[in-house]
Amino acid sequence: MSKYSVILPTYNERENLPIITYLIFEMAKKNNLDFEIIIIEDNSPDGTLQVAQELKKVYGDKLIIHFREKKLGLGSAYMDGIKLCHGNYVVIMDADLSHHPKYLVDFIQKQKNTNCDIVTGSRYINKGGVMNWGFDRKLTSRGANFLASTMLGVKCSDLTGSFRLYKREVLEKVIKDVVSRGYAFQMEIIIRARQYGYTVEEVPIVFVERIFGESKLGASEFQIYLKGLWKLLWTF
Amino acid sequence: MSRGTNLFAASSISAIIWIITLFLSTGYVNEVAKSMPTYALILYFSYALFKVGGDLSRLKDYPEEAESLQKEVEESKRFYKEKGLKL
Repeated sequence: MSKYSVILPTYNERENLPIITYLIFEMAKKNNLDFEIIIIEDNSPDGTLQVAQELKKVYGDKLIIHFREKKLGLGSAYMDGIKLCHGNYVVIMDADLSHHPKYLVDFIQKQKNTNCDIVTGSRYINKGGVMNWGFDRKLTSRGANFLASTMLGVKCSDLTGSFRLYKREVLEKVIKDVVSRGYAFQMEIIIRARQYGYTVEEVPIVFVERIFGESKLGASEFQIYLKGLWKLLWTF
Repeated sequence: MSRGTNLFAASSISAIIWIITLFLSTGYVNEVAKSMPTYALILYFSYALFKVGGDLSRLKDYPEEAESLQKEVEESKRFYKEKGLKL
């Protein structure tokens, strides 16, 4: 039977963490799926760790908490998370409720139907979409995706998306080679996976902009993105 | 060869061909050659506008998703209250 491990990196998510945890396990229960969550907590000043420890009283062994002394970034969070996974499939998603766990049912269905190696959620295909995004955010995101796909010559409707389901061995193999940070990190995973001959399928998702907490997106993020894209241009 | 190297090579070759055409051609061909770079840029930006603009017009908002999420937030709070958790 398939077992799914969700790697959830958290930083200042004390309000969202209980909700996302509830939604994941409710979805799993309703659909008779075997899920576990690995929380990678980077010593948030808002008490996210204490909230995670409270949640463990309800969910027990299905909730694994990995504490890190400081903010070490997504790439290392995924690498640390994989080591603690018991599942044969790994889910990567955001903890801020922008990625709704209900779509995981569609991801799993797609994976079972096609036996693909990676399923990626896309906001930009038919039935996908967003909520609580201003026009400028939509333009920036779409523009960035367009730039990446023309510069890199990669066909993927949502290259920077970070809501994905991987076969465990695929993620383990690909993540070792990834050098980028930020949004380019997500793009690089897809490009490398394709280079190895792994198959990628897309499923529509609706991305709801965070309702609690502060967004970590800023003006400097776009600069980091451009730098990351430039580096990728010379990597592949 | 990386994609960057490929693009650089392709654009260098195109630039050399364009410069040669510019210096060696006359009349109508010369006029066309002079405006090729501008035309290429306009083509690319038109394509970008068409693609991004088209996608943006199709990018739907889903207010019902935000509403149902709000309901689920309340549901989760009730669940934890029943379990006696202090969050």
